[in-house]
Amino acid sequence: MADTPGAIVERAAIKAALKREFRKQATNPHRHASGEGGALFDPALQRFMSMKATQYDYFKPTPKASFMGLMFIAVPIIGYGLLLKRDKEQQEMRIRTGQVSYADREFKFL
Amino acid sequence: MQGLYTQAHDSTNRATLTGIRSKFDQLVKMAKLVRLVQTSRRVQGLSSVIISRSAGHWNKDWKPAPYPVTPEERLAAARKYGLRPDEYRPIPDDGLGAGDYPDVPLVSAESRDPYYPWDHPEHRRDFMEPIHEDFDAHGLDRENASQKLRFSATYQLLAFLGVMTAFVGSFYLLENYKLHWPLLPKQFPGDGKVHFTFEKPE
Repeated sequence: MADTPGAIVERAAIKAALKREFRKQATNPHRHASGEGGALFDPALQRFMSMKATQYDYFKPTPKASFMGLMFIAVPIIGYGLLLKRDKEQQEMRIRTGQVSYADREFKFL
Repeated sequence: MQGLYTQAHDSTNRATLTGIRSKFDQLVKMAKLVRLVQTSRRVQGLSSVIISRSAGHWNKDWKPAPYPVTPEERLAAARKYGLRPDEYRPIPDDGLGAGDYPDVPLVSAESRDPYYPWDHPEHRRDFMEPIHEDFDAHGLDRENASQKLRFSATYQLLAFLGVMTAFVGSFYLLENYKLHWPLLPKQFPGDGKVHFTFEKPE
């Protein structure tokens, strides 16, 4: 439907017109004089930037989004914290009850 | 501007399609931008967009609208983004969406023709081309997600796992079968050890 010869010709015509207009405005010496100057304003780029800045406005806690938030954010942070806590507490208990020899002490090369 | 209109109409059989209209509306807006001098003006053809150079561009004016449900909303959104109505497809609204922002086909910058005269060669992008939602992750120095790999990702993973399995597996299997030099430990006298018993050979 979008790859018919008529569609292709139409898209090429629009593309050529836009390219011609871009070259014309980008090399327009009066743009600086009027105070505008600088990079030519691109509405598509501005829409992309605004979309990126306001993406949270369209966030909804659907099952898929909640699952991703759990598996990629909550589980790694909390799980790693719990594992670390367990390892440190086990090591601390072994040190305090005298099961670690002087030759196996931590940071002995410092 | 007159030459632009007639040239485009001649090549497209004078069809009045909304895709052409939205693009030319944007061209009209651009031409008027040059003539603006510190004033705001409502532009025909682009409803509810006020161009105001002195006040700048606010996110609230340019952010995507809510997800389009009715066909009229879809048509308006296609016009806004400069896409044909039959090729406009919003990003699915599954909680991680972005309103009516279009689902542009992903073609990384590195996959695009390096010899075509792009308007922005550092992005390999033309002026007013609709931008993919993950555009910043697919630039020239970043991921090339649309390339055709010589070896598929599955093949690469299996090859890596196969080689690493061979190395690690042979290490573990042959750990108890190490080869030694044909030497025995040195025999020192003392401590009641008996190294040689002086028995007659048979």
